[in-house]
Amino acid sequence: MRAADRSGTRWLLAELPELVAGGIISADSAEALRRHYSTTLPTEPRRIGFVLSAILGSLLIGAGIILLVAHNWDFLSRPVRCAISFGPLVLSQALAIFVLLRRNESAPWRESAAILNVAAIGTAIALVSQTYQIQGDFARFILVWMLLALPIVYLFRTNVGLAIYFVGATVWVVSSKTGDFFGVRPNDLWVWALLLLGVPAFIARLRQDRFGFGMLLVMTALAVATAFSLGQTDEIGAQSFWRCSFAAFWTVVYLVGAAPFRDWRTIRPHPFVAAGWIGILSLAIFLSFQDTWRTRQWQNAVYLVPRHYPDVLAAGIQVAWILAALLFATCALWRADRTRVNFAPAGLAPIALVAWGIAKRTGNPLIPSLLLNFFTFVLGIFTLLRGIRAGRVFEANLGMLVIAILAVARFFDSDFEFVLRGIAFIAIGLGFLVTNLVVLKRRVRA
Amino acid sequence: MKHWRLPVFAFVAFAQLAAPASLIWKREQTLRHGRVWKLRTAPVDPVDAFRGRYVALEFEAEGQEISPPPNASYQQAVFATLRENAEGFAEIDQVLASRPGGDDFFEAQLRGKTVSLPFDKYWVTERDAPAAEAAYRAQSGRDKRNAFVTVRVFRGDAALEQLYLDGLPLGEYLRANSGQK
Repeated sequence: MRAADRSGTRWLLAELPELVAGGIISADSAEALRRHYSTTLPTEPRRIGFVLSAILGSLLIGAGIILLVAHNWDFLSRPVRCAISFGPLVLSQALAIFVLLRRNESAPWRESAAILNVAAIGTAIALVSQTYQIQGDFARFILVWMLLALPIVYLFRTNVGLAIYFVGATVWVVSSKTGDFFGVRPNDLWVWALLLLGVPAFIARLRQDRFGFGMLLVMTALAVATAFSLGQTDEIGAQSFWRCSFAAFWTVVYLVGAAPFRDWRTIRPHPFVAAGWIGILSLAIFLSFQDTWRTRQWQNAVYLVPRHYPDVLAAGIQVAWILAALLFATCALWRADRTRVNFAPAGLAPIALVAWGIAKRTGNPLIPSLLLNFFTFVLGIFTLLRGIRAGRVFEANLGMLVIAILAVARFFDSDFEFVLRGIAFIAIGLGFLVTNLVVLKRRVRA
Repeated sequence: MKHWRLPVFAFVAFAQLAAPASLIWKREQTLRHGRVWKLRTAPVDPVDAFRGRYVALEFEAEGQEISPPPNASYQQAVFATLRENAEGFAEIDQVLASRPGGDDFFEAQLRGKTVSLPFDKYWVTERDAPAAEAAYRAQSGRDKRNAFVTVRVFRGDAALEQLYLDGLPLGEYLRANSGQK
């Protein structure tokens, strides 16, 4: 049974007495239903609550200890302060050993022991640094912290720990050596190695509980980490290629939600579908402006075959991303049920690649921007028609929304007269109304 | 085979303890064997000097123009040695791309024709923070130049030892001046 149907199941079980009383089903059927659903209804909701409160409790206790210690800090000699700095770490390690020996099968225990331990590592390093006035390199601090936390992720099979690890890798890649964020160094490419170190744990968690909220948390953290890493990589590699690598990124996000996680919940799609739509639509609209293709970087930063190590590797990673997105889209198209999954948004990756190729070759911003306009328009129409045909009001309106956003965007960079704009907006408004009318009528007829 | 995790965890736990311990060890070496230098703080913008629980330090030596090693890039890590000026305060002596001989050098970061010293925060306790802020502002303004820090330097490491205001360590200065408010 799918995880999401739990609330539905609970509703059904609560309805049973009334259904029996109303004579709609027999008492036997009600009993059979109750038996069937009670056995399949897992105790998951309570488990989530337990996990959450365990995590919150561990964090609060840890923070409280640190505050207590901090208050009396200046009365203590340096050796005593050091000993205290190790306190939370040693305690968390003791708890971890207890969990490994006695509570290894309990997810809440594992999660809280792991989080406490991960937090304690950072705390110990930070407290020692403060005691000794050790300054330094924030990025290196994060790196050491995350590398020490990584084995914990594997040992304790923890979702939250893995999410923290991915977020830590992100913080590392955006914090440059001087502590200013978003400085780029060639070393930033190592973030991909950091992320890869977490991938086996990710796959293991995926196998165990694909549809749980813990997995959603980890996936979100990984997506955020990937986005930032890709941004830094674009700075090092062929800079103008960010258009393609981010088209690839959003395509992958959308497809992950739409294809492998299609069955996430019966009534609503995976959050990555919504995130993917927002990302794809924003990027497509952004690139539909001519100005975004009018850049001096064509002349000075686009060497698809750069000359030395960091650029070559960065460009390789950029290209790998777009290839991966195309491959993923092809596989998903091949395997998935095309009536259930809208593949049109995934078209952004190849379209952006073609548009970039044209811009690079000709340096002319008109054709690439027209291509993106065309893509967005087709995306809107396709989604609209899909919605109408299947009688899905939401999808039909989404299609209309895409067209409307495109229209608004075009009015910002063109010199159309007010009358023309007025007429166009009226037309789009009418379009919305007619669409809803058509879909509803079809539904009624069906 | 359930207990394979335990020896692995023992190893991980050791590494977790070793990371802060190695920081302590390195710093203790510097504090025990390093040579003491006095570095005068630069006049600061008082509004910006205090951030929460630390004093943001700037040094006169950071404004000193140096000759960078040949072919050095803007933010490159370099090794610096110090010399004493007539007033007894430290100045940057040499800036080198590779580790010099002896113990009396530290790692810094090049900023074009100046260097950025590897310490810019002096942590104070929550209780002392407001008083320390006012004192540092008073003693490090443009007309008064009565603030300096002592630093111990040993084999690449530079350990900030104490912040002095008006010739007194911060703690003593605060105690001596606490009655005046």
